[in-house]
Amino acid sequence: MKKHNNRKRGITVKSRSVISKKVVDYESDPFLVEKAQKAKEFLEKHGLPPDFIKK
Amino acid sequence: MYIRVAEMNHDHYHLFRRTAYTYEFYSDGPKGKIRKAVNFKRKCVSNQKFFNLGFGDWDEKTNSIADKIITNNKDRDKVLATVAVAVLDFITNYPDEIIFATGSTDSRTRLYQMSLARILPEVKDFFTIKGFVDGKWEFFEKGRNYEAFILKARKKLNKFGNEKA
Repeated sequence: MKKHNNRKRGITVKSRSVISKKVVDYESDPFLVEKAQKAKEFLEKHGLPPDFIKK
Repeated sequence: MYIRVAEMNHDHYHLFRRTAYTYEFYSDGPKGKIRKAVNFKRKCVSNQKFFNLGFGDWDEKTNSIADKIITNNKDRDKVLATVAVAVLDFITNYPDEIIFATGSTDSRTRLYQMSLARILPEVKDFFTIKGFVDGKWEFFEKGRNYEAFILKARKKLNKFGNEKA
């Protein structure tokens, strides 16, 4: 199996194949959508740290 | 940016990148192999882009991710280390981006906190990590109970691991 060149980082990230051939649409996964919306609401309420705001 | 985290020696599972923003791995323990997914979902607040970290088990019954399942596969630390590695890989690929994370329950948030505390010595030079507590953001410290976390790359590094001029 082809491996990405991440060994120097001690990280093993393999290419997509073999284990699951199912294509999953994570972008519209209800859990992820809801969680991201809650994150947005949290940051709208409390704001980003000032040093995280790009000028 | 190319982050050298060779000293990141925490035991973790092999990660499979499924999409630009999604990784999968398989927890392996007494309950068998359990498919897990880590996703970074792009959102925007006040014209500032950020990515929300989503993580959970793949539920074959609902064909969706569920993060309220208690897997109990006796590999909690290895799973959390793998999520941390996914974060490192993501921020390496998208060094200008901000990652926001919170658990779906207080106990899950605490797990994220423990994972961050564990890897903090290795990554603190590379990332600015803040936690939200008592109504404000502060630099992440061990032993504090935060409601949410946010992180971004601190340094721009070249592929040799040296800081860019």
